[in-house]
Amino acid sequence: MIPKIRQLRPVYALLFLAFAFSCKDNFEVPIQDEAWVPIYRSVENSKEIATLEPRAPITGGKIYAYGKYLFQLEPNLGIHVYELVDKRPMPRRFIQVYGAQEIAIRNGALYTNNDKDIVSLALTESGAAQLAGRVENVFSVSEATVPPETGYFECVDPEKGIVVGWELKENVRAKCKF
Amino acid sequence: MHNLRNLIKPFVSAFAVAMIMAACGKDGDSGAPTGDGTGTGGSLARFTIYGEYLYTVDRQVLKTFSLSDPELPELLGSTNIGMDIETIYPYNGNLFIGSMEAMYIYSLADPANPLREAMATHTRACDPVVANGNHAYVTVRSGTDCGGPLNALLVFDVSNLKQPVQLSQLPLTNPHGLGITGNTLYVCDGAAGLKVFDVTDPKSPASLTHREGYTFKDCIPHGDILVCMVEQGLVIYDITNPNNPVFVTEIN
Repeated sequence: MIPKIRQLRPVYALLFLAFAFSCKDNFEVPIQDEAWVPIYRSVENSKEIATLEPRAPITGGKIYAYGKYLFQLEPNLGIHVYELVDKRPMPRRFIQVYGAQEIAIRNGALYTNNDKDIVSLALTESGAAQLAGRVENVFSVSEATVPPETGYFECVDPEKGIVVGWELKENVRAKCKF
Repeated sequence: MHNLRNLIKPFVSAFAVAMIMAACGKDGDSGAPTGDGTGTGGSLARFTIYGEYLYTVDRQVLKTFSLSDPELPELLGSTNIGMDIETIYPYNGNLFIGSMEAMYIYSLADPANPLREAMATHTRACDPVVANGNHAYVTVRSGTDCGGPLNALLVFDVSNLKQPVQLSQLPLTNPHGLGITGNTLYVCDGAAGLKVFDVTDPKSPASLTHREGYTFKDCIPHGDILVCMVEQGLVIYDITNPNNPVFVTEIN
C-alpha cells in the first residue's frame, strides 16, 4: 500500500513533530535490530551550488519543462538537467542544491529553494547553472523527512542540518516509525 | 471583473496558451535554456511564475515575489491561505491552489496582490489542480498522508470564478498529479497507472485508455510529448495523438 519512496506531505510535519516530541520525552529509546539513520549536512555547508556530472535519479521528484530542456528534482539534493533530443531526454547535468524541492524558470533564470532560501541560478548554454542571487529564509521546506522505506528510523533532528540521505543500520536506537 | 471576462473567452485564452507554448517550443529549438519565456511546471508544484512574478506556497502562506530584477526576487507580500497548501497552478490570470481541504482560486488582476475569488471545499484529501477553458480538474486522494476517504477526479465549472460548481466525480485508485492538453486529461493514478480521459464533456469525462508499469505521480504535456514523473525517475510518452500516449523512453 505504502510506496517505498514518497513525496513529503505536510501532514508528515505534524507526525514528525509528534515523533520528535515523543523522542525527546523518552529517556529510553529502544534499540532496533534494523533502522534507518539520517545522513545530515550542516546548514552552513549546504549553501554551495555546483554543476556536476549527470547522475541517475534516486527518487523521482517534481518535473519541469522549459523548451527542449527537462528538469527533475532530486528531493533535498538538487536538480537533474536533461536535453530533449528526438523526444528523448539526454542527461546533461546535475545541479547540486541542498534542500531543493521546487523549481520554476523564466528567461534563462532558474528559481529553486536551497533549503529555506530561494536562489536564482543563471542557466548557460550547456545546462550548467551559476548562482546569481539569494533571498534568505523565505521558504518553508517540508522538513518532515522520512526514509526511503517504511520501518523504524532515528528521529530527524533539524538542529543537525538538512537530511541528504538515509542509511540502514543494525542495532541502533530508534523510536520514530513510518 | 477583468478576470471573469477573461474566463468567458476560453477560446481566446486557449489560443493564447497555445501561442505561448509554441513560443516556448521555439526557445527550445533555438538551442538553450537561456532563451526567453517561462517554463511549465507540474500540477504538484509549489513554485510558479506568472508574468513577472514568482508565486510560492508553503503550508499556509502564498508569497508573491517580483522578478523585475530577475536575479534577486523581491518579496512583495505574504497571504495566509489556510492549512496544508500543497500545490499552485496558474491559469488564465488566476492561481488555482490546492490544499488538503479545498481548492482556492486567486485572481491575478493585480499580480502584485493576489486576491481570493473562491474556495471550493471538499473532503479532506490531497489535491492537485489543473484548469482548462472554464473548468478546473482536481484529484483528491486518501491515504496515510492525506487522511481523507475519497480517491477521485473532481471536475468544477469555474466560469463564475466566485462560485465553482462541481460537475462530476469519477472514482480513482490513488491519484496524484494531472495534466491537460486540449480536451485530453492525463491523471496519474499512482501504481494503478496513467489514466487518459476525454473531457470534451466535462460533466462526464470519458475514459479512453491507460498505461501501466510505473507508479505515476505527475505529468506535463509538453508539445508532442508527455513528461511523467514516476516514483524513481521519468517516463516519456509520444502524444502526437493526445488520446493515445506511446511509450518513448524511461530514465530511472
